[in-house]
Amino acid sequence: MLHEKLKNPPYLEVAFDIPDWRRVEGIIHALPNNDSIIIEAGTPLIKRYGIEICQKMHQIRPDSVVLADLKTIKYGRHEARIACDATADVMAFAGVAPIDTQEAIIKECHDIGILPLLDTISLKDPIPVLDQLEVKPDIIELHRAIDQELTGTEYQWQDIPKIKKIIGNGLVAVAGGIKVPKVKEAQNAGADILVVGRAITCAKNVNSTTNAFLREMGVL
Amino acid sequence: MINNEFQIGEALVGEEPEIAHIDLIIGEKKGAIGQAFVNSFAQPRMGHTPILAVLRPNLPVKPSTLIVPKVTLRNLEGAERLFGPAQSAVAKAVADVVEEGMIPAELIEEVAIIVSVFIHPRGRDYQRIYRYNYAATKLALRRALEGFPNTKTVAEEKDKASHDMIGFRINNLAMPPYLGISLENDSWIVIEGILKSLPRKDAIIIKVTAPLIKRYGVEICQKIHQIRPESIIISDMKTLDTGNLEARMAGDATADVITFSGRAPIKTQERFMDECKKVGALALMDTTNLANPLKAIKKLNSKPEIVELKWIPNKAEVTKIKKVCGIKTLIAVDTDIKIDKIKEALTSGVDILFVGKSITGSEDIQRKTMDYLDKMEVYEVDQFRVMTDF
Repeated sequence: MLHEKLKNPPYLEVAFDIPDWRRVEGIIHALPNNDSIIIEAGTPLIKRYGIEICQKMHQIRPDSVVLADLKTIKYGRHEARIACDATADVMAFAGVAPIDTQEAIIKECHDIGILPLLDTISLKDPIPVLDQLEVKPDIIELHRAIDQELTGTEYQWQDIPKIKKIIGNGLVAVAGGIKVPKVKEAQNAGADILVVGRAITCAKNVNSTTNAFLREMGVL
Repeated sequence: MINNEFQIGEALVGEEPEIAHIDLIIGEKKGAIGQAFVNSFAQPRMGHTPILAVLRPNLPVKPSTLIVPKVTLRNLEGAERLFGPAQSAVAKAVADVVEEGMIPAELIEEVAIIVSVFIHPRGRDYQRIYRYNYAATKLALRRALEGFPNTKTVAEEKDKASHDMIGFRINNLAMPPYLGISLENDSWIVIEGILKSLPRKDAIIIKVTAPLIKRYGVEICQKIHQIRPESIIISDMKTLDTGNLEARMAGDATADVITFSGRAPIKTQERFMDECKKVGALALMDTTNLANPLKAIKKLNSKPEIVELKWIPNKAEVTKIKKVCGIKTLIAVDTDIKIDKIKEALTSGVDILFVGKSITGSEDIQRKTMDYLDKMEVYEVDQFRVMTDF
């Protein structure tokens, strides 16, 4: 049940984890107008301004898929609801949440018509978790935490084909300090969505940097 | 008599507007005090002319005492209040302290005193100005000479003290047990209603749960502080990544306690706790879906101030956690605890009981909260203390 707008991967997901709306607004305006771009409202941004930030993003880019990175770990159904109420298209929850919480989120998302995304942050191996889930998420995000980038933790991309099989050909996103030279490797590993944060949002020239990513991905 | 060249005292006596507030320094003329005395004496500033304390004109007190007005003197009325009642009251207090033997007579030429005097511009009653300043100077001088307050007094009183101008204290959860009210996903109007129904009690702390923060933004903590300035607010960030950023955001939004997930990467947890220290907040470790919190805590270089469990622990579990984290670590339980389980939890050594819908969803929130507090047997800070100045 993929979102209509997510049927043609690859996608470039621009993650906004800068908790400053004025800057975020400027960067969104500077992004090229391309259907392959997904806008992510990062966790700090949501916690700072509230989930309504998703709707504000939609007001600037009505056509884009907006992802609410709630990293939900408890109160699953509540959080799925507030994301939907705020016009988010995708809702991200934490793979380290209790299994019943995760299942409640996935079901609730399906009921209200948004896509659930499982974020593997701090999860050693996502496969046992995916196996346990009665209902599967539509998207898996293999996430190396920002705080782990500092320690140089390696990406875990070797299991992408296996993961895709478990979730019934859903999408796999990869995140955590991805830069242009890493794009091909991620795509070859089977990634459908490349999540890029500060490499774009903190770039001097947002537009051309984004285009560089899109070109490398072969969608420009 | 005097340690380290000089000693400092402070006292506040009386009622407004004549209320007297004295800050003073007593010290050896050969040292810094002597220099400050002479400098101040020789360089008067407009509206703050220093004058000698005199018992009456032509009779200065010993040790020599310099009075420095705190409030700018704008007219003769102001000057009269200082030069008349305050000047002689300070002198009388110094003379009496000497007579009582607190300053040995042979030292009166060795030491000097600088007294900073507050007189409210609306103070009219010379009787009051005189008596209040006499009392405050005497008290401040005695305190200076006795080295008041000592470390023990400061440590004990800091968690009880509330400054009159602020009306509340930064409460660092020093007097458990506490009743934590978890505000869940309701609209702001409902939350406001709940907050106004809660009784005003020192033992009540407020937890803003993650869905509420995500719905309204972390600024909601400050909005709640506007309604209940005296309450501790726990910002339930349940941080999984960007530890320092999220802790800082919550700290900026006036949160007193900030939560992180025990499932976050170690680096995230440590950066989070570091940042909490920088913003003066306490870090709470949330153990959602953490099978063995103790194991997780052991891996951390720095330890959280509060550990929140999802079950009611027994005494041995509490002891183990406190052994690893430090004796002052608080143990919280987040189970929407029912009244009949309170005794069990408190006996095990739980410090904070979190209650959600059992209170916020009840018909009579105030009554229900009081039922919980009665069962917990908690009283207000200093409820039974008869307090004057101390």
